[in-house]
Order: sequence, then C-alpha cells, then structure tokens
Amino acid sequence: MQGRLTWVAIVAGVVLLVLVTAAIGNRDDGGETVSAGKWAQSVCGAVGVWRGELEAIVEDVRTPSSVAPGVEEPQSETPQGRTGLVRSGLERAIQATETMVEGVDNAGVPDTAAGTEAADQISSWANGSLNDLDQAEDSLDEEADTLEEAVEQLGSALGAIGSVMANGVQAIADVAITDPELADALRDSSTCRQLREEAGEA
Amino acid sequence: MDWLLVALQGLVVVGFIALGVRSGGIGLGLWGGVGTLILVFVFGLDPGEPPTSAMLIIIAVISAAAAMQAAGGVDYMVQVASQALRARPKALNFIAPYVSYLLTILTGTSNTFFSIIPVINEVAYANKIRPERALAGSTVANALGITSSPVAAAMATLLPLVEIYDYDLIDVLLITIPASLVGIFAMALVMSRHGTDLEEDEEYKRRVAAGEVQPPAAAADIVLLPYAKRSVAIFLAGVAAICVFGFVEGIRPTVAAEGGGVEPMSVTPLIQMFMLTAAALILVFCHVRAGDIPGTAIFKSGMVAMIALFGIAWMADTFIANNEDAIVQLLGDMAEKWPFMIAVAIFLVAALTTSQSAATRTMVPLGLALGIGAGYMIAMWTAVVGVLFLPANGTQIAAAEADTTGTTSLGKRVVDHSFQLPLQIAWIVTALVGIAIVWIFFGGHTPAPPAPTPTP
Repeated sequence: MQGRLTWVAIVAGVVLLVLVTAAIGNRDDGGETVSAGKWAQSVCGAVGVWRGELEAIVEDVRTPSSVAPGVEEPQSETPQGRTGLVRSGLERAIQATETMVEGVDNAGVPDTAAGTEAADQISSWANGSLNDLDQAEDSLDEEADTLEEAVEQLGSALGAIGSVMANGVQAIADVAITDPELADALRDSSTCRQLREEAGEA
Repeated sequence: MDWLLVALQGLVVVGFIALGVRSGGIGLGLWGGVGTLILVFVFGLDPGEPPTSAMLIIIAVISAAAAMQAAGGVDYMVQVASQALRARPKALNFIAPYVSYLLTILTGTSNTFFSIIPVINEVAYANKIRPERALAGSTVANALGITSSPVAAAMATLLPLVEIYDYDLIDVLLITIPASLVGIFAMALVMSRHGTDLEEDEEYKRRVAAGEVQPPAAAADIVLLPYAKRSVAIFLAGVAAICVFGFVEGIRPTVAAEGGGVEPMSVTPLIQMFMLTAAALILVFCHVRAGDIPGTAIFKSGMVAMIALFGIAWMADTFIANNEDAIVQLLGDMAEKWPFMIAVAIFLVAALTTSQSAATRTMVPLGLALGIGAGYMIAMWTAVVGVLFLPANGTQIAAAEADTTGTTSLGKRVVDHSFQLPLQIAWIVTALVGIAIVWIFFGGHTPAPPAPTPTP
C-alpha cells in the first residue's frame, strides 16, 4: 500500500513538473511583432548558444577521444564519434544550426520600421548557414580520386564550419547597420554584449 | 529510418536485459553478449564499444577494496561506522548518499563510487539495515553529482550553452547543488522506509536458510586483524588522492594533446593507477598475501559485476551507437511540439542513450531555442540523471552484486529495479526545487530585454 502511494506521488510529481514547465512557458513569438529589445535578446541568445555548440564540436574534432572529457562516461560514445570525427562534427553542426534556425524563427519580428527586413535578413543568414553545412556534408559523400582530393574535402568541410561561425556575428552587425532603430537594442542587450565579447575573444 | 526495425532492435535489448536480470550474476553479462551477437549478425549493426574504462576501473577498485578486506580493513570500517551510527543506525540511509554525491562532485565521474559500494553494503548489513535502502539511494545520488561537479564532462558541455545568458559556473552550481541536496534528502527519506526490514525480507531469509549468506556479526564481536587500521588508511588515502587530483586539474600529470601542446590527464586512468597502487601498498605494509585477495567476498562480487557490465553495456552501446540520432530526433520532435515536456525529454534521452553529455548537448540547446529561460533549463538539466532508468550502468550492476542479501535487485521486468524509485524521486524533486530556486533568486526567465534607449 505504501509502495503504491509512493508511485502515485511520483506520477503526481511528473504531472506537477510538466505543469510547472508549462507555466514557465516558452517564448515562441514566431511571426509576431515584438519589442526591439526582446528580439535582440532572443536572436543573440540563439546565435550565442549555437556558437557555444560549434566551439564544442571544433574542440571534439581537435581532441582525440581517448583524452576528451566526454569519455568519462564509458557507455556514452559511439563508434561514429570515434572514427568519423569530421563527419560526426558536421552532423552535429547541422543539428545545432537547425536548432539555431528554430530559435531565430521563434524570436518574431522587431517592432521597428525595418523590422521585417531585419528578421528576414537574419533568418536568411541562418538558413544559408544550414545549406552551407548540408553541402559540406554532401561533399564528403563523393568519393575522392586521389589522396589530395580527400584531404581537400576534409579541409573544405572544416572550413565550412569556421565560415558559418564567423558569419554569425557579422550578420547581426549588418542588421544593426541597415536598421538604426535596432542598433540600440542590439548594443544594449545582455546576450548581444556577451556574443560580441566572445567573438572578440575568438 | 525504419522505425519498425529500431523498435525490434530495442525489443531485443530489453528482452536480453530481462533474461539477464532473471539469470542474475554473470548471467546478465552472458545474455548481454548473446544480445550483441543477434544485433550484429541478425540486424547487421556495427558492434558498439564494450565499456572498457568502467571494467578496468572495477578491476582496480575491487583489487584495492578486496586487499583491504583481506587485511581486515572492511571490518574496521564497519566497526567505526557502527559506533558512529550507534544512536541512529538508520542515519546511514542519509549519510551514504551524500558521501557518494560528494565523491562525484570532487572527481567529476561516477566511477569513484565503485570504491565505497562494498563499504556501504557491509556497514548496512552489519547494522541490520536493508542494504537496498542505502545502496540504491547512494547510486542515484552519485549520478546526480555529475550536474553539481565543476569538473564533470556534462558540465563542460553545458557551460558554453548558457554563458550567453550570463549564467556562469557559479550560477549553475548555485542552482544544481541546493536542488540536488533537497532531492537527495527527499529520496533518502522515502528510501529509509522502503521495503520490509532486512530480517523480514523473504529473499534474505531464504538465503540465510540456504546458507548462502551468514547473519551479520555484531560490531562488538568483530575481532580486528593487526593491520586493519593501516589498510583503511592506505585505501582512504588512495580515494583522497583521486579526489584531489580530480578536483584540481592543474596538478594532474599532462599528456600530449592532439592539436599540439599538452593537457591534463583524464581522471579515469588516475583512478586505476591510484587504486592499483593502494592495493599494492596494502600487500606490502599490511602483510596480505596476494593469493588471499581473490578469495574475498568483495573480489568475487566485483568480478561478477564486471562480467555483467561487459555484456549488458556492450549490447546497449551497440543499439545506441546505431540508433542515437533517431532517438534524439524523436524526442527532440516531441519537445518541439510540446515544450512543456522538455524535462521529461531530457530524462528520456539520457535514459535511452545512457549518456549525460549526449542528453546535454542535444536537448539543452533545443530548450533554449524554444524560448525556455536558461535558468530553468539548468534546473531541468539535472534530469540527465535518467541514465539510471535502465539497469545497464556499471554502478547499478556493482551495487546489486555487492548486496549478498538480495534486497538490491536489477528487477525482473527491466524497469522494476531497486534504483527506479530513488531515481524518480530524486530527479523530480531536484528539478522542481531547481525551478523554484531560479524563480526566487534568478528572477524567473532569461535576463530581461534592455529598456529602449533613445537614439540621438
């Protein structure tokens, strides 16, 4: 009886957790008009998280798995992760970029004169990054005729990650130029400030 | 992706885990090996990686603990702990989980827990406490320590994701540590009343009647061997050294980094080195004969746990390595559709991939992209303790094998193992308390958007 009550309490706990999460709410403003400050906060947040993921991916590709921190959990690593580092890095980068596109789309449209254009510009850059990485992954599928070609393929694939990463901060800076009203919001937002600092460090 | 095929493979894994837990002992590992064979030969999957690091750690830790037992050190620890707990023996159900939690915080890996499993078991048994209460609770608390450890791999994965929202390591620890402390307390409270008392347990009575286990000796009746204290000192010094080197990265020996330069050695080989050294020192300074070590109860149960882990974890990794993307995609889609299910999705990804790092790097960015506040995501991130949902982890298997009374079990229907109840209590309470901490002390959602400033 006591055991059954405990399990009832656990189910109630899960329901409570789901309800609390629902009450916290998510911030899906996709398609809606939001304040410039809120938009800047969301977009820079999404781009910043994405940069963090790409940094981790680059670190994983650089570091051999035998000493990488990720192997502290013995059952967690996959053979793909061990042997196809570049490919799995690209796959993870694509996944991270898809998540970033989702975050950018959820940010909505800033309520400035050129807000729609700004949102489109960022969304277009995000989707473009996804295409670039998709293409880089496809290029790895083509069989290389020579060793030189194979090395070039790997170089191009890694270069694609570096290129979309560098373009992220630039895309936001471009929006600030085309929409002066957004420039203040992008300057004052804490996530944008953090993003600028991290990009500066890099 | 052929979902029917994935489901069939999943059924094979669950089926062989079920067969293994019914067989018990090394049967778990043997059936796991059969499952791996079927996944590879029938379904054509690439074989996964056997859990080599965990197995080697078990060998090293068990060598040290068994040497200590041969020197009488375990008896001494039981005596000391029994005296300390004389007024309240049941306090063990609370103290043991917090000690295991602390060990993980200090070393960043749950593998250190292997070293205290035999001690917790012996102390519980000597005090006639149902070992399951302390062992299962400690195993869960130990896994929960990963999200409270500044040196854990999962923490290294999380930090770059939340730094953009002004959450640094200290902020994360200010959320996860208090939440985990409360979660562990709630879990220990329930576990201290869980199940019948040891002397009324049917399986235990059967084992005693069959002579499979001897009734516990009273602590006062234990006759200590001459070097018992010394062996404990050596063993604990080994554990302390692991904690120090685990926590302070800068003092670890360096190894060549792939990208050039050097970097600190990982904790895993350090555990193996220190534990083997402790065992060797016990041999020399406590006058233990090497031949006596394999005859100890700790050595036997440890070796059985290692074989069990070998087969089961290999089978699980074979399934996961080939299907991880599909699992993450499925649960990611669920979270996108119903963002309020994000905590449950994190728990399930951890459960089905048995990796805290994988659950962190796939689900936390998704939650943030869905607009859930970074602080709340940190609170819900503690759900990565879901790695214990299936009984395929080394610490679970080792704890169940160490408990000769049979109260700590891996279940009969895969999910009805001894760790399920404490796991569910711990993750739910920890996540809820974490959310409350964020709400009260971190101002709710993500940092507020800046106030509009006039453009000159």
